[in-house]
Amino acid sequence: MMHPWAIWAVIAVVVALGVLGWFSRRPTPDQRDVTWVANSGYLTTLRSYRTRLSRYRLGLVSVAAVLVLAAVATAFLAGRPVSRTVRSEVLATRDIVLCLDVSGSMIEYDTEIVDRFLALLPSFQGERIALSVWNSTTRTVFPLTDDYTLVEEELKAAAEALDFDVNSLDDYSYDPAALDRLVNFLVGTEGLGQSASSLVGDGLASCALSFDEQEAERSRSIIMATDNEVFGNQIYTLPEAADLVAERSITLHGFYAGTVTPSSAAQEKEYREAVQSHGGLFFASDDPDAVAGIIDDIASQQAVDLDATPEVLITDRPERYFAWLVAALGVYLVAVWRLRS
Amino acid sequence: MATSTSRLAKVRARLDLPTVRRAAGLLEGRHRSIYSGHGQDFDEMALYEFGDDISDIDWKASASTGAPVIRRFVRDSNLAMVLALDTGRNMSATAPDGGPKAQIAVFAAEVICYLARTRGDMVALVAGDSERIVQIPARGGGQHMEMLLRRIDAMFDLEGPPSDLNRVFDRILTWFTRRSLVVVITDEARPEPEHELSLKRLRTRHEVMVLRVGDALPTDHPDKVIDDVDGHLEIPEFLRSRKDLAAEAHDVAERRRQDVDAMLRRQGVESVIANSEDELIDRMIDILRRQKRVRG
Repeated sequence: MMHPWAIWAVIAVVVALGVLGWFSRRPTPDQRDVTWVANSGYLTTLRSYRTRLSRYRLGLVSVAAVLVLAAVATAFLAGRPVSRTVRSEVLATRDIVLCLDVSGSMIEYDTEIVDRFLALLPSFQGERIALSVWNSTTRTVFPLTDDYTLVEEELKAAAEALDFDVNSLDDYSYDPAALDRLVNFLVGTEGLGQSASSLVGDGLASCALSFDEQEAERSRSIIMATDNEVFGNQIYTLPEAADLVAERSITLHGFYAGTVTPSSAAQEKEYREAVQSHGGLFFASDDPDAVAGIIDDIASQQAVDLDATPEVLITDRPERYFAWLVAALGVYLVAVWRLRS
Repeated sequence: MATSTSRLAKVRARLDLPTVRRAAGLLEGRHRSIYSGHGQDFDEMALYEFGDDISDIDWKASASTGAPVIRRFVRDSNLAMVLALDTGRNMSATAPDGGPKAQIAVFAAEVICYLARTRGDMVALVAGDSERIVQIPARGGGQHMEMLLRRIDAMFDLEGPPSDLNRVFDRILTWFTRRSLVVVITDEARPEPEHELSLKRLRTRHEVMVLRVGDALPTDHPDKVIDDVDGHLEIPEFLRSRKDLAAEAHDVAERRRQDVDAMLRRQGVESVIANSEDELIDRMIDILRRQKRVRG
């Protein structure tokens, strides 16, 4: 209801008019127009009179009920029935590129990230999402799109393919079909052979280049997951790539999940600085279960950054009350016509 | 009705001469029946004619003559009629012909007065309802009749008090000790059972005749607003022009007429119902023609 007070106002007016009409009604018909008869007292005791009178009274009662219904329907119409939908247009302008390191140690975390986005998918209304996986080279699984059917399909396939226990490779206990799925999924990410892996700078840079519609006023962000264990020569170093990302006014959110090695602290530090120096959020965790919370943190931080005050969409919904009003008036007209004939 | 014109002249204009003769002659026969066996002056023996009371037949004389012979008495010039008029507001309601019942009632009084005047009889008036009572002693002559009729005409009013025939009957019982012909003018629903006792007592002293004006049925005018003079009657439009209701109302009204007829017959009182002025003349001729044995 847009104006709930209008309901009571209309009902009050109807009641007031009813009371006014009741008191101003003509007490008796004009005497000159009356045909006077005598000795007709028996009429009201006749059976046909009584049955008809009770039918008449029933009719009057139903007319009154229908009028009340019509008045209430009118009152609700005056109250302007609306449906409100709360949504944020700003959040819907987000472009999110999932930039996932698919080197062996990260696969478990990648699964969690993909799963989390699968869960978030139904709440997206215009957000575009892309998935790029990289190791030594980058493969774009799907580019930025709001075709959520495709996104869901691809994310499911990705989640299924990435759901592979890498450790099972050591004792050959893996499922060959699952390995096939994983290998198929990772095709194109090891373009430089075994000589290089986790070229994080190159991966991030290619993710940065996957944004289109540069002129459009959209919020762009990359969610990157990596352990920052670089093997081999990369064209971009991580800080360089982060600068490129920032240059294109893209926000980089980083997720670090490295195993503890002698160099891991330095790697984490470099990664953290690359992300935080440009205002992104950085998370480090060795628990894959923490990923869901981290994604939610990123989403809520984006809402704050974008000043995404929810907008209220108001749609008039008078259909039901109009139906009631028309039905009530129809019944009223028919009843009055029957009662006066 | 303009008072300047003679009411009796108007009645005369409406009654064609043969009708008047017949009615007047019949009234005479009726009058004779009133005085038979009351020790009035014996006049002559006459052959029985149609209209004579059979109680007047002298059977011995008839046996010797070979034809029915009656004993005729000297007609009393002071023969009195009493117009007993119900002036309740019910009499101002609508008659079956659409006009006011009062019009028929007044016309009935006019006919009675006219007939009485042509015969030189005296007419008294007792008109009343639950609040008013007007009594005019018996006199003859056209002027008296005109005055009486004007008085009657002025008493009918829709705003008037309700009917009460008992007061009229009691007044006649109290004041008219001489045997007279009492012509009661009321409507079809009366006399009611509550009037039966008064009527019975009246009947012991007087010859009684009841002229009843018909009532319009409340269902007769489906396109008009109907109301009852004695009690508020509201017929919603929804109920008007319903054939079954009209039929049932007609049955009930008919049954009530018959109840009143039965009561009057029990009391030995002649009565007619007139639904219009034209019908009234026919009915009055009928009632005057009907011969009736008078007891006591």
